[in-house]
Amino acid sequence: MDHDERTLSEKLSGRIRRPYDAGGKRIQEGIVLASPIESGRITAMEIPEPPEGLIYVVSQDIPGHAKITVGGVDLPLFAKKDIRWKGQTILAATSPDFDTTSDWLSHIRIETNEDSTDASNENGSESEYRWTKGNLSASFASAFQVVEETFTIPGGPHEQSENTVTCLRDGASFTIHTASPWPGAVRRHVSRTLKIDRSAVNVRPYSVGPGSGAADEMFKTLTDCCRAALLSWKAKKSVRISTSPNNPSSGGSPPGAEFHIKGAVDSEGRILALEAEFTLFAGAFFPMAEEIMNRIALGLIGISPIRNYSIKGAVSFSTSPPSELGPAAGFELGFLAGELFASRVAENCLLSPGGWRRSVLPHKNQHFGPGIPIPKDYGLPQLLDKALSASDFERKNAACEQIMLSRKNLKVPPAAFNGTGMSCAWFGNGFLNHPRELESASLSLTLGIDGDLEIEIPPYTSGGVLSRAWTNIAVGTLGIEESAVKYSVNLPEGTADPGPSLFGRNVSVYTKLLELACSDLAKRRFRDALPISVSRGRRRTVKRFGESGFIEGNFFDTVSWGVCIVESTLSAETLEAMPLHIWLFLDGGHLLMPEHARSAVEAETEKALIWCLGGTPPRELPMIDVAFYDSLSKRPPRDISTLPWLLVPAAFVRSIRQASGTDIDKIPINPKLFRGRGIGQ
Amino acid sequence: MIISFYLNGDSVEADVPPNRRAVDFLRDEFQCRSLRFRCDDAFCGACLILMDDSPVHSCILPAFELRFRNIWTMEGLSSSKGFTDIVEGFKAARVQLCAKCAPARALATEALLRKTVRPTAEQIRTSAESVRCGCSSTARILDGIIRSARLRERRLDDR
Amino acid sequence: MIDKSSAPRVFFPRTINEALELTLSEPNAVFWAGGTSIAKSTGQRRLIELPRSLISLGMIEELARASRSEFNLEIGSMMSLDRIASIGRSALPAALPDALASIGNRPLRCRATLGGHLANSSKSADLRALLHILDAVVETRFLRERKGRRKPLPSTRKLSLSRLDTETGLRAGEILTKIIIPVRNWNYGVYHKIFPDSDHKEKFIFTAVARIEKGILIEWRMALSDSRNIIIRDRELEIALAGKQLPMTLKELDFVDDLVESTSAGAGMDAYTRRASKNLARAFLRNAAG
Repeated sequence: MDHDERTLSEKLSGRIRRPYDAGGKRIQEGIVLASPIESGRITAMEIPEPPEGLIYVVSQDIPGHAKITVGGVDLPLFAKKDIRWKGQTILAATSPDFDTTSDWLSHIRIETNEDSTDASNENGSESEYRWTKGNLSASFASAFQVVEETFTIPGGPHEQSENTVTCLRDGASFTIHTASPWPGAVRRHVSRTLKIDRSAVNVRPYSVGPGSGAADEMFKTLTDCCRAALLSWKAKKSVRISTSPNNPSSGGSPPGAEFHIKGAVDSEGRILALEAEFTLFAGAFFPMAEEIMNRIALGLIGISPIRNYSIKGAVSFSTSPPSELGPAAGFELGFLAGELFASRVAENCLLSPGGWRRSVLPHKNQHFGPGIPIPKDYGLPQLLDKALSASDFERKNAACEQIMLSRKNLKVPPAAFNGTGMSCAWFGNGFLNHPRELESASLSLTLGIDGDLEIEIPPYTSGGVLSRAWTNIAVGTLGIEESAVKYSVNLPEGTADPGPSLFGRNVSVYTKLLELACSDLAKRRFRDALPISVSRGRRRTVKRFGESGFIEGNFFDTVSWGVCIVESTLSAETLEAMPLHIWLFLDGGHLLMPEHARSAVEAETEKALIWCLGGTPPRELPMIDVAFYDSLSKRPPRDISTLPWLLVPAAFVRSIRQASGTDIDKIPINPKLFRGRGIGQ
Repeated sequence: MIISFYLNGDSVEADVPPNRRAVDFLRDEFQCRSLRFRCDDAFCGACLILMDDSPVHSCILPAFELRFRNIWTMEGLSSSKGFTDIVEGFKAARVQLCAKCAPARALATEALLRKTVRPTAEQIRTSAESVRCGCSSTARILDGIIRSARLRERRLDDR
Repeated sequence: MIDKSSAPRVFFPRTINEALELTLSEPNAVFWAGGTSIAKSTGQRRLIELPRSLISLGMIEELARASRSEFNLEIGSMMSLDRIASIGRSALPAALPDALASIGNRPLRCRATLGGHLANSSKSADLRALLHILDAVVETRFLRERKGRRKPLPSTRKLSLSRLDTETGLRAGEILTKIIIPVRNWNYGVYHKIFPDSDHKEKFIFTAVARIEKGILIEWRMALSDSRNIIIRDRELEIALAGKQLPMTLKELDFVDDLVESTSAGAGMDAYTRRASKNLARAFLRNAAG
């Protein structure tokens, strides 16, 4: 049985432990009391005498910080007086018996003054953002035509699931067992909340699953970790907190947005200027607002060369739980709207999206977007050509267009109408706005006396797939046995916090650091006495996004590219939309595990489709063809599993627009969306 | 209420409130750690058990339903010979599973293979839909089930 | 500690008569079939909220059998939907396998029983529309007071599906024992369940069966249902098309359109459902031609 098979066997047999398996039978369950109202003030709270062995924690009991500061926003651990969203935690309690705690909580009487005033951002951070460059009025005045696009994207995608945090207490130290995508923040916030040294807090991170699943309930998990630690600290016992989706204190969803885009286009289809306004629908709090807003703006401009732009973004707060990160932290919203706008420009110029795109793509030594230099390894034009020819896009697009235009003349309507769509995108891990508390990537290797190699690396290994590739590198460089390579699951003291997995999963940086550390170790292993430890780190040097006020410069270390073609059908009988065939051509450099990467891309493609369909899987499975393309040999690997979120929705929506012959202006796509639009009559 | 039933081939007995959730009962009293809970609403399938060879959700199953039944979880199934068919089938299909849904996937596949080693396309799809998780694409999972079925059939033929 | 005093009492009768007799001593007891509609989401609680007294029908073997004769297919009320589906497409009436597959997922169908599905009026429309056009009836057993007898005696009666939810339908203490579907030579059938909205709050069901011989539509039935769980059927339309040659002419299909439109509009269906009904009826008649 090889390594892969052993891991799979452990997973399938259920031997891999989860946070709720930590600790023995003596672990106590903690339960939170959730706010019954959406917004208002607590005017009185009657707390009954707790039975023996029951302890509870409210905001006033917290020895350290009562709020966690994440992404520039203070998230309260408990509501003190003001309630900001339904389900906000007011109190947490634990006792040796779950039902005793539950019954005691049910006897707490809370009086509230419900207010219906609009939620506002009390954190004082900007709720309006603006990006401008160039002369818009001149461009619009000289435009051959003005193209407009309006699109609404609901919050989500989000499939809430059970979330458990276990805090094991051993004397003065606390070990947090959690499946958080950001273990570095867990340690920092727990130590701040308990006002104890960081060395007294250990984090045992669990796999958060491959792909974008990592972003789900990130901030909710952070606050749950602090609450479990608080209960553990006060009760002097190990405590576990579990929340299920049916629990009123469940977490929030990623934000949605509404876009209005207007573009000045010349007679050859080039976009001279772009004026966009968007409103982002957030929860009561919006952590990492600046990062996400910048990503939306960047996605809107996408890959079309635009010299003049004015983008205005506003955040609309609500009384829902704090917003979580989306699957691409805002790119999934920006690219969807931007690529739909691009397709509309092509249509209005009476060009096929493929032909139009080919004609407007910047070439080497040019800039894309408003001023982003094209990297050396830019292979998008070749990628586009391959995608267009492999999918026979131009012919299919012309055929679907013909049927769409002549459908009024059909005596007997067909059972279904088909449509095609295409989109292009790029993606880079890392932050646009480098938060102060986050450091750069680092790892360390220790070659022990017994010949074992311990690799301390942040746990972003996508269920062990990357660790397999990294093991191969270590085995190849050091000539050791595969079984001698061990990964440290504890977050090592002193290791830099690269941020949440979505931003920090920089495959190329970690692979390079590992290669450097391994070759250094190889040189020292016969020179120095064992054990030998080698650390390698890399500090980001790129400039902060928007420092100059413009969207300019290189923001990501490495960028992956992609082109997507979607062929869909719309039933004329039931108006159900169904993707038929999806082609994804991705350039992710020299991939470490191509087959695993293909599997991850397929999974994310399916999730992105389900998001577009409002959570319902399509009636029939589409064919998904994934092709990897490496424009230059020996380039470092990049993250490609997020690309489907940027590519698939835009191409799918465009294909349904063509199939239906209507300008659907929102997702999710469902039969009611086409009501009154004259399809299938 | 004292209930007796077969768990992973052994006869067991326990005193349990009849309305206790089977998932908690099996995890706490019999250390069936392969049972996950995610949705608590008979939707995701992470808590699947085999009850008289049928996969059922244990998160909304009251303990009294276990009475006199033959219950299997992955603790028992993973030590059987047939488990290797599933591991090898899923590996060959390069299915990437997360630790949350993997045991339920294996159990749903085993439920199908106990019924037939030559499943129809409809049966395979139904089995794949028993567990809802976004960690792997449906096409890969279908492929994994087909390959597992072929391996099982070959192994049974060789016997 | 878990409070055992609040735990429900559960009875496990082995025969139908035993179950009926239990209703005399436990008048408030609820019959437990698959339990999928009684045992609901539990949130954080370790105990499932259940009625105080339950009579589990799971041990009654005679309720879990199916038999097929020349005239009828009889399905025991405690047969799970999954076991019914496993009888096979060839032995089940047209469209029934598709209808069964549209309900939940397999683990849910392994527990949900046909009897429980029909007895639970809030969800029953999923299969009821199809069973209705298949002329299915249900058989029930109950205790009946008789003159000169101190103890009531078990009696049997048959009910049409349309009576099941009315006051004359299933009474307290009455057990639904079997579902009888007449065997007719339906050789074409469809069942569509559509959720027009993404939140799945609205539902639309279209089902139809037909007997076609030598290209002639000998007989056909069609039923519609929506989230209100009412069944809409137009017998006039069914009779009007019987005996027509397939494929139908455009004029005949326009006539079908008009009748389906007036029937669905008369039943208060919304614009989407009305249009989908027309389109699906047309598609059914077009595809029935082969």
